[in-house]
Amino acid sequence: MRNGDKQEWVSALFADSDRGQCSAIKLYGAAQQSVEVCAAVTSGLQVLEILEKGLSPQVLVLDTLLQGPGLGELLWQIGRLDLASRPCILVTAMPCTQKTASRFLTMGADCIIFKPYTMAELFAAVYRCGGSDSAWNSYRVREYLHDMLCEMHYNRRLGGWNYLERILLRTVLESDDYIAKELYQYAADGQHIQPGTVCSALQRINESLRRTGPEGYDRLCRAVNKPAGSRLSNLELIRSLTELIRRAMGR
Amino acid sequence: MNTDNLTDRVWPEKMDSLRGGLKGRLAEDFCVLQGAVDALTRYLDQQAPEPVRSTGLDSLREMNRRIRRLERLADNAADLALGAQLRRLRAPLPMELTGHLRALCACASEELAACDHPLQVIFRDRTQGGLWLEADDNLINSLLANLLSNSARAGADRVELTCTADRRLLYRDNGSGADAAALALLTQGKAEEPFLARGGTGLLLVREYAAALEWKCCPAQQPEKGFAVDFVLPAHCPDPSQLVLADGAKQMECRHAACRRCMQQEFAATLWRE
Repeated sequence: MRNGDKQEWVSALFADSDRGQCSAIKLYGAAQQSVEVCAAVTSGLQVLEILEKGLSPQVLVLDTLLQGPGLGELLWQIGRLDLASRPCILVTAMPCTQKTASRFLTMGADCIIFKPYTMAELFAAVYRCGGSDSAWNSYRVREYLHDMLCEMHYNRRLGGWNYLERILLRTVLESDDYIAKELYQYAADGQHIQPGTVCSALQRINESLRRTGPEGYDRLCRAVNKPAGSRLSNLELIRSLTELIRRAMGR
Repeated sequence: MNTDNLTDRVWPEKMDSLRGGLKGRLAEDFCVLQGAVDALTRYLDQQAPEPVRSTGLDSLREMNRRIRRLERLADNAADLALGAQLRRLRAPLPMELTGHLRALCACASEELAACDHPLQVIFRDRTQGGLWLEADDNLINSLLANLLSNSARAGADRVELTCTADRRLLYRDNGSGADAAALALLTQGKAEEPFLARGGTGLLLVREYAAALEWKCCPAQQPEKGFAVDFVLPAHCPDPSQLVLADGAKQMECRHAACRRCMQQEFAATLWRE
């Protein structure tokens, strides 16, 4: 299966005693396509009820400040449930000592994320826990692209984003050897569109980025050794984004 | 026997209560605030029609910057308020300083470049074979991050950090220099009220972090253009009973990650453009 043809979902159940945080998790979850927020609840009892009803999320995200029951009791109760598959357990905690962190892990948690974290960091940790290694790499490409284009004030609703994303999944993760025509064809395959449509969409993105994010566009220029203020071709845009995403991923 | 160390020592239970106290509550609240801003940003970006989208996103970006600044200020304020106890939350571990500083300088230069600041941080090793000491790398990161952001704001485009064989760390920049009040605060701990009112808490923190590391802040000959400060580092007296086996590569990876996060937090909060 090609990268980008199908995005792997990770389902997660969140529990945090702060209602504000639960609302933010639901809202953030509704605006992204990688983690399915099965529910965001405020007590340990609700977590147990949901699991007992047969819902089987891949990841459980539990806050250390949960009440009724508290985290230790909850982890013990979850361990006693007869679940079809054991979820990966991610604990959200305030900064603590190595000893306290080790205690969470001994009680049954698989990993810990410390506060304060951003929603992007939390969802990335969830995806890392529940997704496969190859899906994790694709996830990182998508998120870095999202961050970079958002920073340049690009409006995703203008279209073309999906084509660019598919192309970058290939150029970042697979091959260094490509020409523009081949990439347009690659993005158009199976989409009932012509390669020319992809080319036009990338031109629109290119032009929009140059207009809305001049500082970021200069960084893209420098990534392909062109002076700031230059105009990039579509292929140069792809190469510069590939280079910056690879750098961010440490590849 | 050094009785200061004994009185300042924090037992694990007390560490937990401190962490769960001021710093923990701050972390908790910032986390919820940041979560709400992140969720609204993502939602507006993908769902809202223009011009609500762009206006809303501009406001949320501004809120994000303010949160980062407040987070840094709150962190600094908590460090100052909890003083000596918090500084010793992590037991100092033996570390080779030149390797850590080399990585820190490279990381700082990258993060400054990411903020579009021209400041380059250069490390010079004059130790002839490295320099071992017992220290908490988080304190070193925080100390240098504060000094570097001061240099960046003072218009410096070059900082030289030199480690010498006589266990000194020399910090030099080519910015606009420091006034007498700043130097008095840093090297003698004399805090003049008007200076603090102008925002000299960064230097106060540098002095606090240096004290926690048991580094002595010494006045240096000020260059014609720029700012200079020297730190005299304590002797390294390894205690064989405290030796532990550790995964060196993993430890290094953790140190680099902590260093990058510290620099990002400091520069993103202090060097962002209007």
